[in-house]
Amino acid sequence: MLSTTYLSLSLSSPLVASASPLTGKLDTLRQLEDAGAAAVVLPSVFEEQLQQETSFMDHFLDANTESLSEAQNFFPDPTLYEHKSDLALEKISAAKASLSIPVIASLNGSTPEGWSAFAKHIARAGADAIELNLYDIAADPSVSSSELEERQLNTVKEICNAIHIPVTVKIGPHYSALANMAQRFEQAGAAGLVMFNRFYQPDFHIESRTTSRKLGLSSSREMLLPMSWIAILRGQRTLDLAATTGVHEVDDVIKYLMAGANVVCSTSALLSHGPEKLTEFKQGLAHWLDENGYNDVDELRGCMRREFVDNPELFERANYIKLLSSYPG
Amino acid sequence: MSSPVCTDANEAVADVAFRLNELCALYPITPSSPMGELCDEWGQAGQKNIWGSIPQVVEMQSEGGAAATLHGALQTGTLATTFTSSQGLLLMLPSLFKIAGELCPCVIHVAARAVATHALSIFGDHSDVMAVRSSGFAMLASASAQEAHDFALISHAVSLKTRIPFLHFFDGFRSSHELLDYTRLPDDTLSALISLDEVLAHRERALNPNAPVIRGTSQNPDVFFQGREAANPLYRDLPAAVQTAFKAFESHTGRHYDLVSYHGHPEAERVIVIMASAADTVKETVIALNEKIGVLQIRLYRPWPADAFLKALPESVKSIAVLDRTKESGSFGEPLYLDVAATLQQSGRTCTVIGGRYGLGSKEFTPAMVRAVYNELQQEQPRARFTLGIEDDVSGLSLKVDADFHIEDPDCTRAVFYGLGADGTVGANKNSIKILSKVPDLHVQGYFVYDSNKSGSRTVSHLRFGPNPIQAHYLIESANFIACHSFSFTKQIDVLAKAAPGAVFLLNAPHSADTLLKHLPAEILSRIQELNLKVFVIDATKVARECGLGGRINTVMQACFFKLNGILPETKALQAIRDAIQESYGRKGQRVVEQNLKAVDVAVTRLEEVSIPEALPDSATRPRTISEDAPEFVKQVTAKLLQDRGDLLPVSALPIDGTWPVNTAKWNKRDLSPVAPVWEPDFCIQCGHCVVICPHGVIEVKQAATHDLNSAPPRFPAPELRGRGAENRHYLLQLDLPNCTGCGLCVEICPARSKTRANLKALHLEEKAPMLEREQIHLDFFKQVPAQQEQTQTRTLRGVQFLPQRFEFPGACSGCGETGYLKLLSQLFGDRMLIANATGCSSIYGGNLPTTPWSTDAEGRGPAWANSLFEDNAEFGYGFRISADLKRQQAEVLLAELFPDQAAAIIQAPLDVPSEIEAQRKRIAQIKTQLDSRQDQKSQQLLSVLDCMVHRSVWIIGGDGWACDIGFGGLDHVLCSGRNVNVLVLDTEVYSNTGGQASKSTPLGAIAKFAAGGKMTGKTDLALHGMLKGNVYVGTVALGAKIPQTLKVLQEAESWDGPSLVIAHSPCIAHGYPMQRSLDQQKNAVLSGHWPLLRYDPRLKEKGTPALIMDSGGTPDIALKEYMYEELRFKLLELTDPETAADLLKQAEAGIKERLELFKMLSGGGE
Repeated sequence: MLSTTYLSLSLSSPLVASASPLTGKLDTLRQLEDAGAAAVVLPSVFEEQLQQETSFMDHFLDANTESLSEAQNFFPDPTLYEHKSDLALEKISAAKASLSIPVIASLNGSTPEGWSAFAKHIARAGADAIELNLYDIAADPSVSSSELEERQLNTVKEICNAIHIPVTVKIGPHYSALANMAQRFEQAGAAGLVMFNRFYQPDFHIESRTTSRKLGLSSSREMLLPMSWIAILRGQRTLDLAATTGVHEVDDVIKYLMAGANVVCSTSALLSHGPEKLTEFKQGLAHWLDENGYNDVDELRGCMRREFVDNPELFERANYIKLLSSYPG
Repeated sequence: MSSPVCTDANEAVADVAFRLNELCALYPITPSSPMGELCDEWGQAGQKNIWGSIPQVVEMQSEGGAAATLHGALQTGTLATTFTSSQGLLLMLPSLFKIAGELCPCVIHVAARAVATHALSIFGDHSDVMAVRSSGFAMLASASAQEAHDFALISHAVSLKTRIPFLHFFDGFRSSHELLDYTRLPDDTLSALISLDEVLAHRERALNPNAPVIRGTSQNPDVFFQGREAANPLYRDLPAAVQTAFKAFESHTGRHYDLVSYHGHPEAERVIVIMASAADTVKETVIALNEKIGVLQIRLYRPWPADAFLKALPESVKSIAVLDRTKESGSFGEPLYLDVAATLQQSGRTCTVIGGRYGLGSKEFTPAMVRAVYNELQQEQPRARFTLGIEDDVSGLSLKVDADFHIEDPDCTRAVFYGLGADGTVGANKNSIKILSKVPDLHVQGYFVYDSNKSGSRTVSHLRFGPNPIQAHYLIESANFIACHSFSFTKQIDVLAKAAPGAVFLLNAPHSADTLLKHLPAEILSRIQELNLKVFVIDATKVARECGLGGRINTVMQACFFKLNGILPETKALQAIRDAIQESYGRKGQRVVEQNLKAVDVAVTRLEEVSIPEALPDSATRPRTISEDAPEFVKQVTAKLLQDRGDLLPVSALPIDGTWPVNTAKWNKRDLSPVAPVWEPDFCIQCGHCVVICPHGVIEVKQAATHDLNSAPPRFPAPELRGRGAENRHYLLQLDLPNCTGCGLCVEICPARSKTRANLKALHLEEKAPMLEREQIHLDFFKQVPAQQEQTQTRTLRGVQFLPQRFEFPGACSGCGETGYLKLLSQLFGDRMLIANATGCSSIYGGNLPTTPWSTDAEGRGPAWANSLFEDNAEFGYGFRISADLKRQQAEVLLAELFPDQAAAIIQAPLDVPSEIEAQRKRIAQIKTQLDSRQDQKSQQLLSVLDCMVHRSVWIIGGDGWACDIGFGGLDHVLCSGRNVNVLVLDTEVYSNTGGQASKSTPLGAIAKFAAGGKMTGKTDLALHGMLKGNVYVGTVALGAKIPQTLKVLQEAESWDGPSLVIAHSPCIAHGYPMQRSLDQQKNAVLSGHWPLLRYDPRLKEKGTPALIMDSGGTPDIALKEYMYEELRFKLLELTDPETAADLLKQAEAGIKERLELFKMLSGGGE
């Protein structure tokens, strides 16, 4: 009843555990599988982080070596240490070996360079698919939106050309023409879109005049934006759509599926309530489908997509004007 | 057959020791540390010994602890070893007697090093091994990496067979750090020579409750002596056992050794007797001289192989010179000499025997010196005792040496490279040697010399390559290739001093071939012409930058060397470099590999030959090393050291007791950084943060009267002094740019920002060169402006900036986290301070020649500083305290007797604040005036102790390795003494000076040597240890986190009339992050609870309040990982073993919580 496909992978349900600390360890991965996760997304490997960490590590392992007669170096032999880019690959292999559900590896990058090689390693390590997390803050005034979009598309193309496993792209909502970008991502080879990324936004300490980073857990209220866009894109695109953000109750899962999501990804609810929350989602979804006369999730999927609703203008600007004019002034 | 490889004796020995033993118990000490570190790394990598197990490596709290652990392991049947040098070996001495007395088979490997006497020397001689020759250990000396490798096996085999423990030694640095090609012994050979039966016998003798015995009994006069004689037969038979092992070894390897080897003319008349690496130098000189001379190389020194010696000595010999690499002051002769003389006397052979000392503290030993000895032996009446390699104009002992006598092998390429510590030159040269060691039939050698500075250090690499085996264990004297990797050296030292005629001179310079010559000093130009040198230039710095390599010019210069040296055809040479790059940098990713490959390609195209015209351009001579204004001693002695000409100083130029003047660092303008701070007086708020935080003492401030500024040079900034009562006063802030290391901490801490220009602080870094001339003029003026500041009674941050700095320009690492504390102490108490400084970083940047940072104020007062040892510092300083108190007591008695009217005022004077101390000094001065006219004994005595009526502030200073490990027992005792001593622990949480080994202060989860997988136990809580004594003032400080709290702690500690313990958080390069971020890291250390700021003041108990005050919060304000994971020592574990890192982080968080709860409770704020 709940089985579905996502990125050409057969899943036992549309419930996917997103990248989080829970998907970083084998014991919790197993708990997620036992609780009903149909697939797992492993924690992201950040392009910048990888580069920074590698150069940080290399720089300070090498720094101050062969300069002093009493201290030829200050750390143990560097060859004892392997960066976690290797460990990330080991983790993929280990996850694959101990789970029977599909394992999706997550890459977080913003430039095409260097990623195809690593994506190949990921594929070789046994990942069933790659979730490419495109994370750009367009703060550089000399970079136009088209340049930025081109760069992202090139990244997708590079990776899709380099590997044979499906690639899904996790995007943010801030595109001038999201529907057009979705089409271009599909043309570039993406097998799916994950909607949406949540962005770290700095806060200020007013006393110390320093910045701090905060990212709280999402709430159900935040799901409206991705849900709207899934409902819009579902009828336009054939690529798979994964909903993420704000999935806290089984109703949220149902809504995303109705909007047209192939799968629903959960992070915050699992972090708050533990992997068993997935069991609740799974049972709740099955119960609801049964109660409401759906044979399977495919019947439910997209039933509330833009073209299918009674008032599709709700998804468009006209609705915005109506909303404003109805506001008691 | 195993393939030839290239290594140094440390690695060659460790390789065998690791494979033969089950336990290595050790303690780091230069130059033997790498042996233990390598064993630990191999164990971490899962390598096994020949018995199939991974040897355990345990780092102990001292060498004494290592030897005792070794003893215990041997007594319980384990195959165990240790590695050490110098004082470390001496600390093992009591255990050595026990191990030998109980016939426990083992081998201790010693990289022989000078024992500290009038001064510390980390360098090589035999004074350590000779000091333990009576312990009962057999002693075997090796001369090279190959011998050391072989003897590590042979000594182990014989020890197991005979039960007599061995001390296997080789020359510190000269052998321990000299790269040479050698043949590695395969496991099969090791297994073949080690008898399993003897291993089992060793185990059989182990203490065992199933078959108990008792050892270590206490014996009375009736039997002790007989017991000492009982093992005589074993010693008698040992030389034969070693010779048998040599033969067995030869049958497996083809390499032949003898207990005493003779080389030379079969009918030699003159012979030198010598041990270790110098024997090779004598051998090659004997060959070169081709006279009736020879050399006896002693390999087995204990038991003394008298028979083998006499057998090896040709009948024809008429005179013998015995060369000892040690000194026994007051003895009839040095040990080897005495052994030889007694042997000959007993044998009835009549030879003239003379004895000489050579090579102390790694003094060079060259063929010219060897020839001088043979010449001396030819004299009718040769000197009975002599020295080599120095000019002894005091005792007249030194032999005259012909400095122009060289015997370098003409087929050998000899290359000398001058590099900066940070530029990768040494690493590249080691790499070049390894590349060339793979060339068939090519022999290689590499030796590296470093200066004593921790920032901007200069390295000199000596590389030899040739078709013949290399036995020249001395620095290259005549090079046919010279590379200067830093253009600034051309203006500082004579980089062509070792150039042979026709040599190639490769220079990294920011100039093209067309313009280079006019930028070179006249001395260099004339040498180029005289010696007909071929000159090549490349702007390697630019190439490296273009290729993304930053300041690492190693690959660029290496490519040029290979292109020019001609050892390999160019194409083959460059390909070898490319292969090596792939091997060396592959781990770092393709990007780094490609950057280096590109650097090779660009380097060979940018390298230009400089054509040398007949008429050289006019050029300035090299600038003076030392200003004309310097004191005579500095000009005559220190200057020579700075010019690398210290070897030429005669004995008479040196102090006889190790006493040197202070105030010398200021004469050494080191020009360390291309950038330096610029001061913006317009919006500076005159807070003093920069002055306090500067680790190098290059920022000085002064209050000046308006009328004193009339002759100020143009653009000399002198804003009005801020604050009340500051009328007609100006605030002068002056930078000493040549001594600035560009660390940027002053900029980081500066709170004053421009309101009109973004990101501009009142101090900001700019390119230094354009400012140098102006700032020197300003500095000269600043120095002569009278300071107008008044003595402030309380030393606040704002006030302390004006106090004279009596610690300046240490040769510490740029941004050092220790030196700020010392500078502050020197300002607060430096005028009456005695410092006992434990060996470690602070004794090196504090007391390593040529120049030292401890200095004086305008009155000539400043800290009197001394370093005794590593292990004894607390007790050493305790001696200072007792001595000062005794003198004060004597002064009080004499004052009361001789000056009854004035005595009370002096004896009872309160000395709590600076003004009272000044008043006391005036009283003392008055007494002195009166004493001047008195000649009686009591007056003279009073004069000698009167100054102690100004309270001596005794500071015992050292690092965490001293306080928590090797010196812990003494520290604990001194803290329990109740006496008024102040202890400052500069806590870097690791052995910084010897290269990052874990101490007990290393935090949980930090990676360090001997804690390669992250330290699994928590940091010793020295503060809590002090508090529990009840009468010890304890403070923990972090200068970069809270300067006022540091000031308060130091002053409270000093004012407490009892023991004080201040533990100072000290950022260090061994933590692995940019030092300019150390202020943030110190703040984070405090905020995360890792480093709570505490004050435990026993005085508070009298007031009925808890003695402990927490100056930082009782709960962490940030997550511990926000502090930890900014430093590679923690981050490395997170990056490479995240699960262990997470576990250790959790444990560390729990530990912090527990500690903070405890402190809260002790401070009256908790449950």
